Amino acid sequence: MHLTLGDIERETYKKSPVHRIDGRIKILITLAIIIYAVALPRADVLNFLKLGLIEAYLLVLILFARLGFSYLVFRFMIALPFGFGIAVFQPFIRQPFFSDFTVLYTLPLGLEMTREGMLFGASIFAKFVVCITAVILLSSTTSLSDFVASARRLGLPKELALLFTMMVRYLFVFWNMLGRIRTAQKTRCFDIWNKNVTRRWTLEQIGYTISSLFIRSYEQGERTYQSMLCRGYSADAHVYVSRKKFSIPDVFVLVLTFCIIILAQISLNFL
Amino acid sequence: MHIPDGYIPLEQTAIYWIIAIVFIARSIKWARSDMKENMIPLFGVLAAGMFVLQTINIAANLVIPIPMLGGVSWHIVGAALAAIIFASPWAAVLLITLVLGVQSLFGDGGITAMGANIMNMGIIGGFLGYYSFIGFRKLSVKQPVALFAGAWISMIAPAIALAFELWLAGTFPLKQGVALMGIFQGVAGIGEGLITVIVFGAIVRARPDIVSEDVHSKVSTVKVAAACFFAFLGLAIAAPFLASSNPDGLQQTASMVIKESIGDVVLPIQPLFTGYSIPGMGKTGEVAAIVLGLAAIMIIWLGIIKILKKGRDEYNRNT
Repeated sequence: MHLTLGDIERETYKKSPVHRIDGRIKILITLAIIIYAVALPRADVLNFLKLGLIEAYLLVLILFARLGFSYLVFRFMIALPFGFGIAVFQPFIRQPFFSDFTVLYTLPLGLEMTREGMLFGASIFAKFVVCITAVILLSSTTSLSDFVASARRLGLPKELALLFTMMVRYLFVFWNMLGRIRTAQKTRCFDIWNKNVTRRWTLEQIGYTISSLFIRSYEQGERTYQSMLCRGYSADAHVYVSRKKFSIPDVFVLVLTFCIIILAQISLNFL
Repeated sequence: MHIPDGYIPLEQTAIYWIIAIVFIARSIKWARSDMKENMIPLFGVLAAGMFVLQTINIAANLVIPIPMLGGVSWHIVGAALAAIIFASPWAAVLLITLVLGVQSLFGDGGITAMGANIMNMGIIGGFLGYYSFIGFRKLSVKQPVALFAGAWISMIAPAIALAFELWLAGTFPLKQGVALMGIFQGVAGIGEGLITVIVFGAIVRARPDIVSEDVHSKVSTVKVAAACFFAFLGLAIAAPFLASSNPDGLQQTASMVIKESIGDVVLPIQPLFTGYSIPGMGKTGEVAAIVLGLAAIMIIWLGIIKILKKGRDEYNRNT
């Protein structure tokens, strides 16, 4: 199975209460959740309760968004390895910010699992999972163009907004272009794992694919730029975004999210 | 090699973000005015192409013929490539920022950690990759070799920076981190180098007007020296933390041999800086000693190059 850009974009075109929330609100709540999760103390047993509450809230939102199950599993599987790889080392490392360590198990080769290390490792992994869930929810319910427009409404500088607008518009064009190149290569039985040709030749073919993509995207950029000039593009041109008012459900979700974060922070301290 | 959210504390990510924002702002200014015209739309479209070409997986055993690497693959980054083609490291900063922005939306690299990621791959990778390429060209190294070296440095330098960031965050021990990331990126860097050489050659053949080759020879040596200085400064600051306090194998063997056989004859000869440090200055002394040492090596190296060049010129004149 292979997840493509198209699959992600298809999820964003589903209709659900979460999809209908204003993009600005979704960006704000994603940022708030991520910053809150990252700002939690390094190692604290309460972290798990706090992060668990927020994760549960995010999962409820995902349930409302009616995202495909296999799609979700696949998104997580792509995102997790690097973070998991670092977290899994933590119990064996003497972190500089702990003064004393309690050894839980001693493994062969002189490896010692410490309680503090395990707590820290589990803590950063939990933070990471919450952040990834928030980002997956945002990117699966907001189309890329809506995302850029919302970011512009939130005050993204106009040059960056223009850059991202152009990028997002042509992302799928080049994605499909690469797909066509790959199909053409496949019909000629090209395979990077093929052992019957020299490695140098295979590497050259990949290099040519990359240079072809680079030149084609550069030329597309030239054409687009020239046609924009013809229509009066100049240095002070900017991407137009219409003004948009928040609806009542939007405000409700925003307030609810901040309530959940405050709840996670305050109430669990009394436990 | 994208740092995810949660692995660097918030206050440290803020510092990386500030550095990244300063560089992004300058790179946008470059795209607007330093090129002949306002090229912002073009770079937007090109960034989409860069994003897609980073999704091309390349088998690792194409570069290193070890059967164990059968299923491993990596993708190119292209920071050095972009900087060299547009003859400016700002192109790399701009393109990598855009690509990382969209990648973080797809869960590849964190939002809070994006500043650090931009700093590693765009700024450190782009600047060091580009200026090492220019530097090698100035030392009259052949173009493909200089391209390879630039691309390799643009991969290994971010890996070392990444290891240091994770160490500062307390997430990963320094020596193991540098070794692990260094080996991984060093291997990937070989592939990046080879692909960069192939792609650069292909682009020069198809669209020589894109590549600003004439600018490469006009880059002032001061800029190269400045980039070199910052790289060595970083290395010098980093080295004392990496260097072990135990004498290394060579030193130990030497001292054993000396004590046993020649004894008093050689012992009076003392090294200039014992223990890689200037006495009475602590860690600063170690840094200063390494800076001095590197400067000495650089001066000797430049001297050798100059003599070699002189010899070659005379040889060319005579034949």
